Order: sequence, then C-alpha cells, then structure tokens
Amino acid sequence: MKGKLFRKYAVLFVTLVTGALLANGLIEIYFSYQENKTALAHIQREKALAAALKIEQFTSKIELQISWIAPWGPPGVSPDTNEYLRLLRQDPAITEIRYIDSAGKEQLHVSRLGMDREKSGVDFSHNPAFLEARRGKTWFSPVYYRKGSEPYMRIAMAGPRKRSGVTVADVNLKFVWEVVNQIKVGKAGGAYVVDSEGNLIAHTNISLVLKKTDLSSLPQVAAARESPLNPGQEEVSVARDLQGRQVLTTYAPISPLSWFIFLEQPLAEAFMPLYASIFRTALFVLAGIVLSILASLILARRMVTPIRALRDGAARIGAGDFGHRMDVHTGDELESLGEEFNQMTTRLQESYTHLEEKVKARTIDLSDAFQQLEIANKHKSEFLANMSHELRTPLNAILGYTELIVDKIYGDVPDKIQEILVRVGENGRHLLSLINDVLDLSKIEAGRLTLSLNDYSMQDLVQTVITSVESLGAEKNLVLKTEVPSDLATGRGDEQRIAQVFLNLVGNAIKFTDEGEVSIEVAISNSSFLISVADTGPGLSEDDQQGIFEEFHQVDGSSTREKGGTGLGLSIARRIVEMHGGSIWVESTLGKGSTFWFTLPIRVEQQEEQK
Amino acid sequence: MSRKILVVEDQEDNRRILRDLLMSADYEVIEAVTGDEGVTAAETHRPDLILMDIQLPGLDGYEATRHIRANPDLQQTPIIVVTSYALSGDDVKAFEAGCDAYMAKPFSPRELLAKVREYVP
Repeated sequence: MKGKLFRKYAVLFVTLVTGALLANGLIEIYFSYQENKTALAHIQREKALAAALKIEQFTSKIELQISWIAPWGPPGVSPDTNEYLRLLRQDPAITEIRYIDSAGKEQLHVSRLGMDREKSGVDFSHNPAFLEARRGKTWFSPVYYRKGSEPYMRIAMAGPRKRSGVTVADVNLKFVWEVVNQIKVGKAGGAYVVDSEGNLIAHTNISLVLKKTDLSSLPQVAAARESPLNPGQEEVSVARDLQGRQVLTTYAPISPLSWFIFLEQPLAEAFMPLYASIFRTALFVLAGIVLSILASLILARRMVTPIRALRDGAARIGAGDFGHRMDVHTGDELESLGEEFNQMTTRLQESYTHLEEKVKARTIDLSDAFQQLEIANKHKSEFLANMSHELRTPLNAILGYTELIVDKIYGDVPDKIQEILVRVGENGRHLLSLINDVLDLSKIEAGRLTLSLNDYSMQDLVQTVITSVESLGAEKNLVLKTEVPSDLATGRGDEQRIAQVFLNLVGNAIKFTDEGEVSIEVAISNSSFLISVADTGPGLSEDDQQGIFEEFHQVDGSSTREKGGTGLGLSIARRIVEMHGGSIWVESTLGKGSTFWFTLPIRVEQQEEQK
Repeated sequence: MSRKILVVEDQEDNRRILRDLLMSADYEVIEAVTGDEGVTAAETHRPDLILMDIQLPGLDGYEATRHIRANPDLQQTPIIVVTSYALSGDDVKAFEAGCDAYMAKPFSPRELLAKVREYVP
C-alpha cells in the first residue's frame, strides 16, 4: 500500500514541475507564434510592396512616354507620326496609339495589328477616354480583353495646353500577369490583383481572371477598398480565399490605378514551421513531464521510504519487539531521528528487562505471601472448627444442668427460680443456634463447606422435616400440610443441607404464624424440584422482601425479636440452595401470609462456585 | 433389677449430667472416659445400653463402636451415638460403625431419656 505521505509528495512534485514546464511551453509557443506571424507578415508585405512598385513603374513609364509624344501644337496641328511609331516600337506593351484632337476627332491611329490611319475623323468626343483626359488627369480605363484572353487597358492623356488633343494608348497588361506569376509565396501561396471595383484582373490562374471574377465580397478585398493602406503600415490578416481555405494574406495598393495587389499563403503552409516548432516544444514539454513524474516518484519514494521505515519500526517497538532497530541511512535529520529511536528503544529494552526481573521477584514474594495467606486461612478454619466444639461443650453442659434442675432431678425448686431457669434454658439455646449459624456461615464464606452429594428421596426428606417440626406446630395448633407427588424422581444433593433449608423455612413459618396452616408443596419444573413453603402469617412488606436473604437481616418489630432467630438462617439457606445450583425467593403480601419458593436441580453432580 | 447403662464420655460435665439424669430414672450408670476404657467396660459389665460420644481421646466413638460390635456377645447391645456437632455424613458413619440410634448435640436430657427408654424401658 502506498502511504498518504507518498501520494502527497508525489502529487506536489509532479504539480510543481509539470506546472512550470507547461507554463514555459505555453509562453514559448505564444511568443513564437506572434513572432512567426509578424515575420511572415513582414516578408509578405515587402513582396507585395515590391510587386506594387513594379506595376506602378510599368504604368508610370507608359504615362511618361505618352506625355512626351503628345503634340504641343493647337487643334488641327497633326502630330508627328514618326514619334508615335517609335513609341510603338520602343514599348512592346503598347499595342496601338491614337491622337484625338480637342474636338474629339481621331487624327492619328498607329497600331501593331492594323494599318496606320491618319485623319480618319472617328468621333471620340463622347468616349470616356477623351472626356476624362480632357479634365487634365491621366485616365485609366477598366481592364478589357481582346481575343478573349489578352488583358488590355486604355490610358488617355491630354496635352499640356488648354486646347491640346488627347493621346490614347491601348496597353497590353500581360506584363502585370507576368509580375503576378513571378510572385511565389512559399509553395502554394501566390498573388493576385484586383481593380478599384474589386474585379480580379491578374491571377496565377488565368481562367479565374477571364471569368471576370468579382472579389469585392471577400472581406480582405472589401477592407482594402474601404481604407487604402498607407505605405509602411503593416497589416496582415488571416482570412479565407476563394476556395474557402484559410490564408495568411496581405496587400499593397497600386496607387495611380486604385488597384490592389494581394499576396496570400495557405495558413497551413505559412505556419508549418510554426506548427513544427509547437510540436517540438510540446514534445519536449511532454518528455519533461514524463521525466519529472519519474523523478517525483523516485524523490517521493526516497523521502517516504525512511519515514515509512521509521513508522513501521515504531509500530514494531510499540507492539513489544524491543529487539528491532531502525535501519535508516539517509544522512539527514531522518537518520538522526532513527538513531534517537534506536537509543530510546535500547533504554526501553533495558528498563523493560529490569521491570520483568522486578515483576518476577514481586511474583515470588506474592506467591510466598499467598502461601502464607493460605496457611493462615487454614489455621482460621481449624480455629473455627475447634471453637465450634469448645464453645458448644460448656454451653451444652449449662443447658443440660439447667434442664435437669427444671425437671427437679436435684429436688424441688421454688416456682420463681423454676421460671427463671426456663428462661436461662431458652437463652442458652438461642445462643447455641447463634453460634451454629455463625460458624456455618463462616465455613461457607471460607469455602470450607462442601456439599456431600448423595442420592436422596424427596418424599422421605419432607417426611423427616415434618417429623421434627410436628411438635412445634402442635404447640401452636397449626395445621401442617404436605403435597408431595408419590412418583418423584430420586434426587441427588446434600440431603442434610437441604433438610437444613427446609427446617429453616418451615421453622420460620411456624414461628411467625399464630393461626392457620403451614403447607409444603413439591413439584417438578425444568428438571428441578420446585418447593414452596407457605404460611398464613403476617406477611412481609416489599422492603423486607428485598433484603430478607441478606446476612443479619431481620424483619424489624418486637414480634420478631420475641421469636428469636439469628438473622442468618435465610442467608445460609440461600447459600445452600445456590451451592446446589438453585435459587430462592419469596412472595408475600402484608396480612396475607408468605410463600417461600426454592428450586433444586434434581441431579446435582457438581457444587456451584460461590461468588 | 435396674438396667445397666454404659456412658462413654470424656467431658466431665456431660458425664455428670447423664449420670444424674439416668440415675434419677433408676438406671445403673457405668462410666468410661476414653474409647479404650469404653470397650473394656462394655466387655466387663455387659451393659443393657451404651451411650457413645464421638469425640474421644484415643479411640474415637466410631472405632470404639466397631470394637464393641466385633465381640459376638455384644452384637445385640443397643448403642446410641452422641455427636458434638452434626456434620454431614456423621450419621452415615455412625450407622456404618454399627450403632442403633444417633443424637446430635445439643440434646435435651428429656429427649435423650425418651430415646433411652425406647431401647431400655
């Protein structure tokens, strides 16, 4: 089982180390992403600006050339045809050039495709090229296509004077396409150009251009058209291209034309090195975490193992294994703790050994004392037995002489003395019964009274009891009744002691009953004799019933004192019944007599221990 | 002719009481103090009844009874055993030794006399 401490340490270490590693990795990834993106944007932007510049130079060169050949003269003055032809030769992008006079009539038309014409008078007065150029600005037409696949643009420019004519050049834009085609952004990235309306005019995929694709709905195009970028301001964004792929895109305006050149690169490609770097970082972090977990486990184990050894050792010592020594070699506080423990255990072992010796010595002393006590107890028992004889012998003599005098063996006795001697006899007998009872109880308490177990007949026993109390009952005119079934099983017990119990109960019943009857009943219940001795005497109060079986308890009142008794008879009866494994109790109501009950196991084979 | 009763009893007072009691009832009383004396007296005097104490110096009452019963001439002589205190099993021992009756002290002289009269009217 791994302990709690181990888990705590391991979790703490792992949390600390992986936390640090993860934070470091995430921060690194974040900054690397930002830097990478900025760098990419910067490069793209540079490329875009360069391309835009190229296209600007291309148009401005054409613009410049046109401005040179525009006639300076008034309307009607024909331009120099040679100048126009030379321009045509000089610049292959220019396909045809027209000169339109200030009235809007074509004066000259030189072309690579057809015959040169002079003064054809074709009316251009409503042509936007003428109208816009006359306003004093160079006019650029929207891109148009010839033969379905050649992009063209018309550039118109008025002369410097107020009534100067307008030179109109049709320029092949293949050059722009070449510029766009030359731009490579990574492997899959590229460039495209849109005009001020958002229409695609140059793209690596020419078919898209020829289809006159409208890109004004692309968010990056719309944004560019809304807020033309200032040169130097870098803006790069992540957007979707026509196919819906995520691209990193930037753009640059081509200023006089209000065109925009866009550069884009699929995000996946653009960020490929970034992703690789992230992957590498993640890999390192992961490896770091694995290593740190391993290191944490090892560290936690190294910290916990000695602690556990200390704990187990302490438990063993606590369980009494004083021979155990801590085996901790960490070279730190734990080792010194273990050493302290070992020293403590050594001292504990010493004092324990000392204690054991002491206990042994005390035990010997104690057993000596116990033996002496046993001897003393034996002496006491012998003393009691002797005293029993010694006390009774003179008392018997006193009683004997008294009775002889009362019976007038020694001659006549005056009535008064006779009466006194009767009292002497009564008191002497009372004293004798007191002595007997005290000695009986002493013997029982000393454990000297042992039952003499023999077979007996309950019927005979009851008969013997009746015989010995008959005269007493007759003296008080009491009826003695017995109800004993004739088929009772043979009992086993100490017949004489059982008779003693009977005699005590029946004797008491007769003593305390002035008229009526005393009845003895025997029944069988749960393999025990159930015996009751009932009288019609004064009965017992609840309080008296409580303590009646205790030593020296006598029911208070003059009548009982008159009856004599030692207060030990019922206590002895209870002891005897309990020694047989039975129990004794009383049921009584004041004024309605008492019934004493006791049970005796029919076959008593062993004497019950007394408490 | 008065009947002869042998009293074997070591206590002087008890002997005196029994003697006074029995003589008042017109019995002839022969006294013995020890068990050995009792056995000798029984053989010498051939009493009509023997009162035998149990606690005696030398031979105790049981032994003395057994010795007396061993004599064929004394096998029919009634012997009443008198014990100082009733311990359980004493009566059994007494009857086993061969006595005819058993009386536990304290006995009333009156009761004893009644018992004696059962055997020797």
